Formats: sequence, C-alpha cells, structure tokens
Amino acid sequence: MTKFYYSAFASVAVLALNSATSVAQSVSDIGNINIVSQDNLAMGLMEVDDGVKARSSINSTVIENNRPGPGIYNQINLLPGVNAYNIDATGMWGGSIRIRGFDSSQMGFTVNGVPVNDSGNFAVYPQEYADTENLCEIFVTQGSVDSDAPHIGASGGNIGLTTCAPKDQMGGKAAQTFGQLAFNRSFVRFDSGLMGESKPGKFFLSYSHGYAEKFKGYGEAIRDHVAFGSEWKILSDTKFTQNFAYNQQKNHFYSTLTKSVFEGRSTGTDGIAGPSSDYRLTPPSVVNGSAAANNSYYGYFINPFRNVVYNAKISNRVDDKLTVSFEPYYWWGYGNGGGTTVLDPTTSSALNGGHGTIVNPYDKSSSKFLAYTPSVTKTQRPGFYLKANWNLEKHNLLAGVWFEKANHRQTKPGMTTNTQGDVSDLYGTQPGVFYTDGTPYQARNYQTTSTAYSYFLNDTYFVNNRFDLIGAIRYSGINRDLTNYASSASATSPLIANFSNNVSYGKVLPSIGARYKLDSNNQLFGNVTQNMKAPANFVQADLGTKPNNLQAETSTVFETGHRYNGEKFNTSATVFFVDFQNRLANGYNPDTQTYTSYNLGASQSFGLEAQIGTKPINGFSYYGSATLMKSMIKDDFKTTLSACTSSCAILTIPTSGNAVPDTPNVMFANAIQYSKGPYLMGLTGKFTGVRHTTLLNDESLDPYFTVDLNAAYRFQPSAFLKTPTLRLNATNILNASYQVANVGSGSSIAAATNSSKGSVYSTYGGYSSSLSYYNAAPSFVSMTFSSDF
Amino acid sequence: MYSATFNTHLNELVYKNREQFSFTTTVIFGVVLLLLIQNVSLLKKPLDSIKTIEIIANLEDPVVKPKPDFKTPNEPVQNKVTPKNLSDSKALVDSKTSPSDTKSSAIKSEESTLGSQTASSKAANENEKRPVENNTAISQKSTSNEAQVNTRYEATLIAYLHKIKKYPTSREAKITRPEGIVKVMIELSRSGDLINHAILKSSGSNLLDSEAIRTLKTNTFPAFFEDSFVGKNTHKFVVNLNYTHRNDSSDISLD
Repeated sequence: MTKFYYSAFASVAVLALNSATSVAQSVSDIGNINIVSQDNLAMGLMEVDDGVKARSSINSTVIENNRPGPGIYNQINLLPGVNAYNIDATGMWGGSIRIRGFDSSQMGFTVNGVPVNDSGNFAVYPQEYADTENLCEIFVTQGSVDSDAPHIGASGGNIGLTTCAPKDQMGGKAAQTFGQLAFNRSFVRFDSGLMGESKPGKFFLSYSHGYAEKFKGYGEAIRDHVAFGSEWKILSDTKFTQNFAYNQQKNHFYSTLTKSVFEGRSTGTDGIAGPSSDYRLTPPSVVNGSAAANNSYYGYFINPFRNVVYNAKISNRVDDKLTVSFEPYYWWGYGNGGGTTVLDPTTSSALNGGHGTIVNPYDKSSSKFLAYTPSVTKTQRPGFYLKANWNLEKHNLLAGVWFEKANHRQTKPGMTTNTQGDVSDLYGTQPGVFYTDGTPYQARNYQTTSTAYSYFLNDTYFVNNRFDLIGAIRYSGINRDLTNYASSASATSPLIANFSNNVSYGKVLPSIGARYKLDSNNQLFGNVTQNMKAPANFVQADLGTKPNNLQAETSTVFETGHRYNGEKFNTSATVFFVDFQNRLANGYNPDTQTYTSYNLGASQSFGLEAQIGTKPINGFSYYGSATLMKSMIKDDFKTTLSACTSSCAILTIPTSGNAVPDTPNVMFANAIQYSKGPYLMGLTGKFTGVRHTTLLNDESLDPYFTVDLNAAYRFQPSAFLKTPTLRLNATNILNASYQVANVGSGSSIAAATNSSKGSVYSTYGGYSSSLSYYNAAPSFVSMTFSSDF
Repeated sequence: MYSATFNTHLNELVYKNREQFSFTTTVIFGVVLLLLIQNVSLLKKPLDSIKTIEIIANLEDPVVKPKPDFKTPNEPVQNKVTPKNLSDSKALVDSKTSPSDTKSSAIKSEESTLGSQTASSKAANENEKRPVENNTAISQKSTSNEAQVNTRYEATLIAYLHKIKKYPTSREAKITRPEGIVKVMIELSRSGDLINHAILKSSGSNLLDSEAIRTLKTNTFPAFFEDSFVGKNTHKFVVNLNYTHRNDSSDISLD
C-alpha cells in the first residue's frame, strides 16, 4: 500500500513536537477543533450547505423526534419545495411526494448511494427502505440532479437516504411504540463496536416489527425489517463497507374515493357515502358459476412484497490525492398488488396466447369463475459504481461509471379463492389456474431487461477563497429489451401475441454552477443543469410491434440563490426556472394498478423556495420554509380518439396555459421546538395550497393545513439504559379532513364528473375519467419508549 | 373517539383560518429580512467572539504572583488555560463546542527571557500601572504577560478556527459521512497570513484532508497581538481538526 510521505518540513515539525524542550518556542499546539457534521441548527431540519445548487438536508436530530417507523416523506415534508404525504400516520402504507411539480417517479432515489426507484416505471416505495432509527441523514436536491448520481429516470432532482454507520462502542438501541389503531412497533439494534486492533471492523444489526390497522375500512399492515451494516478496514488504506436491508410487508390497500363519495354526495363500493367509505367486509357469495362477479372484498386488495437491497463498497486510498472505489449492489424485489378477474373457460385459444382454453379450477366445468389475479413483479437488479476521486488543492475531480442490468419479470397469474375470501396463494408463486395445455394462466407475461449506465466527470474548481466553479458532464443512457409471451390480456391489447421490442434512450447532460462568498456569512450560488428521464417500460408493453414515438423527457433547471450562515440562524432562498420538454404524463390508477403515458409537450415552472432555521435560543429553535411557484403547460395536448385504430382524426385538447397537476402555488411550513433539560416539545404546521388534478384544471383539491405535536421526556440514565426516553407523537392534531392526490406526473386529462364541462370534455376520446384520491390520515397519537444501551 | 375530543370549536376556528395562520412563515421571514437590512441591534451578533477576546486581551491583567516553581527562565512556561476560564471570559467558542474541545493547557509560551527583554510598549504601560516591587519581579511579570498574551492569541485563533470550520457538504460526503482527525501545522505571519501549512497526520480520508487544507488556505487568520510572539516574524501552530458526527443526536439532555 502506498505510504504517505509528508513534506520534510512536516516531519521536522513532528519531531519538533516530540522534543518539546528544544523547539517549544517555535510551535504551539492548540489542541482539538471538533467539526461536527450535523449542527444543532433548526432542530435538525436544516444543515449548512455551500454547494452550487438548491439542496436541503435533515439529520437524525429531527428524525428521532418524529414518530419512529418506515415513514420517510413526513420527515422531509417541511422542506422548501416538498409537497409530500404519508397515506397513514405510521408511514407503513408509503405515500406520495412532489417537488416543483415533479413526482417521485421523476426523481432519483438512493439509499446509501444505491438507486431504489423501480427499474421499470421508476416508482418509489418509501416504506421499504429503512427504519428511521437507522437513518442519519436525508437530503433533497430540489431540481438539479447530481451528476454522479445513478439515475436514468430523474428529470426533477434527487433524494438520498443515508443510514448511520455502525458505532465505535459496543451497545445498541431498543424502542417500543404503541398507538391508536392497534399500532405496535418494536425495534432493536445491536452495535458490535470496534473489534480487532490491526484491522478494526464493526457492524450493526437491527430488526423491527410493526403492525397497524387501517384508519378506515378493514385491513392492516404488517411489516418486518432487518438491516445490517458493517465497516472493515482490511488494509491501512482500504475500507470495506456493506449495507443490507430486508423488508417484508403485507398491506391491505386503502380505497381511493371520488370527491363526490368523500363529500357524501354518493356512495362508494361498500355502499357508504362519506370519507369512511372503503373496500367491503363481505367476501363474494359466488366464486364459481354465471353469477361470479368481481368483488371489492378488502382481502383481495392487498399488497404483499419482499425486497432486499445490498451494497458493498471497497474504497482504496491510492495516495494522498486519489481515492478509488468500487461499489457493487444488488436489488431484489418480489411483490404484487392484488385484484380479481372473472375468467371464462369458453374464451377461444387465440385470446389465451394459443395455450387452449382456461380450465375452471373449481369443477373443470365451462362456467365462469372468479380468480385472484394479482399483478406480480419480480426484479433482480445487479449494478455497480466505479469512481475515482482526486482531491487536489485547487480541484476536486470526480470521474466514474455507473452500470446496472435489471431483470424485470411482470406476470399476472390466477389463484383460486372461496366464499370466505381465502386466497390459495397471496404471493402468486403457486399458480392455481391453468390452460388446457397445462401452462399456468397469465393475464400479462413479459420480461424487460433494462441496461442503464452513466459516465460522469465532475470538477469543482476552487478559484480563490471566495469563488468556486463546478462543471459536470454525464452521459446517461438506457436500453430496454422487452419480450412478451402471449397471454390472456384484453382482445385489443398487443399482449395477446408474442413479440419483442427494443428501445434505447441516451443523452449528454451538462451542468455548470458557481458559488461566490460575499463575506464569511453570505454567499450566492447558481447553476444550470440538464436532466433526463426515460419513459417507463410499460410503454413498450403497450407498444407491441408499433414504432415507439415516446421520447425521453428532458428538463433544464436554472437556479440562483443566496445563503446566510450566521451564528444564531441560517437562511437560504432560491429562485428557480425549469424548462421541460416532452413532459411525460404518467397516470396511475391504484385500483387497477395500471399506468398510462402521454407526451404533454413542453411545460415551464418558476418560483421561490426559502427557509430559515435558528440555533437554540434559550431552548427555543425555529424553522420555517416557504414555497411560491407557478407551473404552466405550454402545449395543447394533441391526440387521437383512444378507441380509434386507423385513419384517426387529431384531437386537440386545450391544455396550454393550465397549471401542472398536483402542484400547489403556495406552501408554508413552520416548526418550533422548546427543549430544556430532560424536556422537549415541538409543534409543526404545514399549509399546502390548491392543487389541480387534471390537465384541463377542471378538478382541484382544497388547500389544507396540518399541525403535528411531539413531546419527550428523558429519564435519568441507569447502568443499562443510557438514554431512557418517553416520546409522544400526535399527528394532524386538528384532525383536518381532506383529500390528497395519488395522481402521477400528468394524471387524467379531464374530469368526467365536472358538471359544467363534463359533457364537452367527455367527448375527448375517453381521456376524461372519474378521479379518486386518498383520504388524508386523520389525527393519530402514539407513545414510544426508547433507550440506547 | 380521539377525533371527537380534538375537534373542538377552537380547532375548527384554527382550521377555518388555516391560510392566514400559514402566512406566519412569510411574516417572520419578512421581519427578519427587514431587521437584517436595518441592522437593528436586536439581531446584531452578540459581539464577535474574536473582538471579545481582543478586548479582554487589552484589559488590565490581574496581578500575578510569581509561582514558587517559576525559577529557571529557560523552562517553558506551562500556562494553563482551563476551559472554565475560557468560558468565563465568554470568548472562545460557539455554543456547541464542548469544553473538552480545546486543549489549550498544552500551550507553550515563548522563551521567557526573550519576552522580558522585548515586551511591547503596551505591556510595559500596563506594567507601569502596577506597583513595581523590584527588577526581578518586573522581569518575571513581563514573561508571564507574554505567555498570557500568547495564550490569548491562541484562544483567538481557536475561536477563529471554530468560525471557519466546516464539514464537507458534497454528495460524496453526505453518502460516505467520513470521520477522522486531520493534524495540521500552520505557520502564520504577524499579520495573520498563511505562510506555510502541512498535514502532519492524515485522517485516512482524502475528502477530509482536502477539506481541512481548503479551510486553512481560503482564509486569512487574525493578526498577532502586538505583544504576542514578540520578536518573531512567523509562528507555527499545530491543531487537530476532528471531523465527527454527534454521538447523541438528541436535542434532549439532562443538563
């Protein structure tokens, strides 16, 4: 291993220090200066930054004060630009996030640097990734994607989760939470502490189990999560780091409601009018026979999944300038989204992919029957990073390659059920319905191999003691190879025949930025960054053998801002302008678990994001953020009637000038905390303005304001319990009742139910639809007792 | 039901006026900006720590009795500055710095004879104000003053380092979160310019080493006091820059 040779002068200085009597006159040892990564600024909601782009970070101080569990979005919801919610108060059902009008499928997510967006449709499942006790930092880059980040689907910024490294001292942590809705969560973590003297290593292992019932309807969530992390210094300048997380979860879905049902003007699938409407308690009375029908029994709307994220990193310091690292990772996921279908054994073989007719699994008769037909997705996704980092005096140069090959297997098999609502196999691993040729029934059956890569070069040039310049360039690309095996899809779908298609996207994406220090407290920054997102893989499934006309969406982000880093408080303010081309509308219907993509053409957004955070003043800390923005679709949506198959007339839907869906013009957040001795109390409030939910802006959701409260008391430590703490978390204490959009990037074109315009827009080729939304989580209280040991 | 308990009239009132309430952020922002622009004393920094030290440094020294063991002027003076003394003077460090942060006790002063011979006029003036007992006493007093002045400069330097210190903020730093101690030497001129610098001991992370060097190189340090390091054009300081994470991130303490 390369040794470090210090300058002759330095060696002399070391010697000098060791023989104090002779040279004590010329050298003064002034001791230690501690530089702590996380400041006590704004109770952990703000971290000092000095980069060239808008970025907000939170750290474990605030994460620890929030309700423990898998909830990620509620942790960052107060940050500027962020419009996020968890579906329920525990975070076990996941949630939704939008920043500057970009949804989670347009943002790159990493956990310890590993990309975790779905490799097919870029969806994000935040409840899978981590237990909050293990998280040390979450950072949000609001618009300009980091050039060294492993993303091919990020046109609107990126979010990174970093877990805490294993601790140097042996010990651990245990936490037990009880709350309303039978919420019960246990967490335990063990830290080995440093082991070994010549090649020290350390690890941690944690396990959590959580359970909660739904706040409306019937059903529950059960989650088990195991995490492991280790660091090992295998050579004096070589470090080996590993992270592993296994998550297993089974959630019953929440039923989304139309505004009409939510407001009690009509009834939902369970016959109830009003916000408590959900899936039905009663299972179907007939599963075999002509009366068999789809049934909204809650037990069929379930989301079981398991996944593993593993990454290793070998980092080698080649010399005192160059560090090279190799980071292989592996992502495995298996899960489905529930659902039933009425199958007909008389359907011709041609509509069953040539496999013959469907065999009735109950009595081999030719009568119709009900089958449980979940959409199963299995992902195997190995990838790696190779990075070289030169830390020179005037430059910080980072060059690297990211590569991954994701195998995405998507099927829709059939399982049997009965009049008690039991399902033969919820995970869909043991098919229960077959064709006459013996092959298992499938309503979709395709495989996508997505090869994604990125080459990046990033240089930070420290021009002088005031001025930094950053130039970055990356080439990111993806090749998607989709092979479809003929299945029993609908008669009009290309999926009923075998086909394969191959689509590639790639683009050079530059970024330049600068930071200028006005004085020791004030600095200005700015950057121009280009981002790209490739279309999702389901586009290719819809495409069949037709040529692909969907282009990758690109965004160009212009940002400029000011930061003040003072002794008592910090502020930052960013003005941004985003120019968006070929914007992909990405609508998702959670009831049918289907997505649709449209090209919306161009759109633009501009706005201001600001935040302020204080250090504790007499025990009080404050954080506030404000987001003001305007988004505008620049093109009309040109399409054809969806039912039309040949010589179709072009239909122009007047979307130009409208706001981008689910993008509020205003958001404000306030958080205040008082901490004295063993007591702590915090109050947060967030206001989110009106959000349109259709491209025609003919339906919108009301603004809402939520208030959360947290309080904690720390008991005197004992020999075993080092930090015994009792914590109260009360969320949405005003019990505000409102709806939140579950729509994707583009959502629906028009609302079918709009009384004033519905009759007109309903002619728009079937692009209008009844929109349904999640209920916001009502007030919820939980108590947690935790301690380090 | 929990919701029924909380859904009081007051809550409804707050909720109905949520838009108005939510504007408090903007109001607070506006007020802060206004105060900043007008430089209102309310928000003025509570006297810069360095200035505080300088003021304290120029204050009259308390009469220091010669220590019994202070016999041989050639021996380095162990001028103990305990964290208690430092915090008493409200100087030094920002609030989050723990007292154990600074090991100033190991600070070594200039050779005492040199100090006594070339004490600055200010020190001399200060000495003049005090009762003069005999020549030996003056000599020892000057030496002691010199040491104290040097110590004060070192405290100033420590405070300044606390002001300019920074944990790296790059994406790489946020993901890898390196920890380690960079032991550095800086040689400063009397005016506070960085003449020379070196890493005496690496942290094991180039990211931290380069951040440390950049922190030192992009800043001009406080000038020496007139009566510190007298007779020397430059002086070398050694400091451990300890990049770390908080062990206990909680805002709750048992203080």
